[in-house]
Amino acid sequence: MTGTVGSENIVDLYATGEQSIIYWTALSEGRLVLPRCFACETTFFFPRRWCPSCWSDDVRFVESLGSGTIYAVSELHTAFQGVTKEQLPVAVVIVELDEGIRIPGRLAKTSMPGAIGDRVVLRFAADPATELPCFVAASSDSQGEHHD
Amino acid sequence: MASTSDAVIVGIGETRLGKRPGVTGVELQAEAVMAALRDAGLGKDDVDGLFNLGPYSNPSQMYAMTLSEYMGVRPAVQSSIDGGGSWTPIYMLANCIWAVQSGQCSVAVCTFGEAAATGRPVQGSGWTTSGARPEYEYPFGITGAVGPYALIASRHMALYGTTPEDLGEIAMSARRHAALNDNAVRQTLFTMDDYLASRMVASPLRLFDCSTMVDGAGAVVVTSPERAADLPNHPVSISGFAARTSHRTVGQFVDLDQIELREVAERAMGRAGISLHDVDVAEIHDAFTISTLIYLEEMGFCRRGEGGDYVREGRIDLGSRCPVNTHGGLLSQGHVAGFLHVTEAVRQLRHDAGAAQVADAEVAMVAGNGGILGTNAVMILGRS
Repeated sequence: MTGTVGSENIVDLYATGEQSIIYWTALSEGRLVLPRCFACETTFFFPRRWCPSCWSDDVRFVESLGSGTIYAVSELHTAFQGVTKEQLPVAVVIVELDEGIRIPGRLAKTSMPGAIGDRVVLRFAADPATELPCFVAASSDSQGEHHD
Repeated sequence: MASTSDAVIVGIGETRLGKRPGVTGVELQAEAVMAALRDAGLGKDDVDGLFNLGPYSNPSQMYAMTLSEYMGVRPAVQSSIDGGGSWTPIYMLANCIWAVQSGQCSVAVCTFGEAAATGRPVQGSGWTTSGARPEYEYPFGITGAVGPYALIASRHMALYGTTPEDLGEIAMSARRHAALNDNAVRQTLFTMDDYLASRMVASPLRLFDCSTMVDGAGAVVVTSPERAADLPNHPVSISGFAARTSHRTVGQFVDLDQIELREVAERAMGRAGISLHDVDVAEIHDAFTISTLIYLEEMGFCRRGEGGDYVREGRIDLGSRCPVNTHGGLLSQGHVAGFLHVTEAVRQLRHDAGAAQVADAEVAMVAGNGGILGTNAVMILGRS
């Protein structure tokens, strides 16, 4: 883990090991990176030392534009880990990225309710080091305005 | 896999379900084990195999030994087994059979139970497992069980046109069956309007789509057919078992048409030498209504996407050709991780299921998943 004790940095909050530190650090810098196996040329999620398709360790992170379509969506009306009562309702999504893999995330309030098949893109917060990115409807991406 | 002659179920036990403030997980498990042994006509000195799982609501390591120590037994074979949901009792039973048929023990008991209603040290808003924080999901609020299942349900609705009313039919059927079960927590019947008016928890899942968290436990006793011959109950055979794992977290969900549950069900039925038409009663995982719907479709009771029609036609209700969750299930009886799916299947095959008895039941199926449809198991039980 990096950073100082008591930091609100998302790397400190969420990263659990060497591979995931790379992933969360990129997010904290406003970049989405995805693990890719250069042996079998498969991009996958989540970060692992070995490719889950061929077990090669030739895994390197590649940048992603973070654009894709909603694969599944649910509007939470109950506060679970990661959500406070005051934030409700929030929409959680699984997004199928254009790279052909799926990642979990949050849909911006301004883009709710959101439907399966909708085009979305990952948008970073003004301070990506302390606030998680969320998906917004692709059409509203030009705003550049921060979510909730 | 064990054939019918290798090991049989001779005892079942259930604790009273509901809110029992002050009760602990190990007490509930001990109570269920003692009840199951009494039912089998066996006692403390007979047990030499013991499988269990610690409480999800209050995670604890080495819980098999915790139970053995609490009960003062010294089993030769014991372990905790954790795959989640109704997979767990099915897989524990498989281990009981393997232990008995290999001669490692003579009487194997398996149990699960917890004080999930009153014994949560961390209040997790229900339907959560406080021991799991999937790194790439919980920061966004995807955690526990209901959110992930809701995501799968949203996909089923978008792909196949499944409606809330389709899920409501499953919830209403479970409640009607629970009304016949003295040990069910929720027995008040409700209408489709009531279902639709129940509060949204995680869309598209409403409160009535979600199972009922209870304090309670179940246990099952397995021994050899030779030993069963001297015991009071009609032995129930385990004639087929199969399972397969694909993923742990909903982000790795394999797609609705890639669950491979059909393959698992056919493997289990093949080992039992039966087909789906031979199943008289099915107890199917129902932590949420959507899991029952998907199981009906993927195991071949109906075609993919036609689960809504199937349940609307009353084909899971008592009186139909193959009723489902005749005890009220996790939805309305109470969530004991599917252990009571097994005890109910055994009661049905003993012809001891009271008002919920399926006439002349000879073959029962117990089927369920762990995680978010990430590991699936099917077991076939027989009366003979």
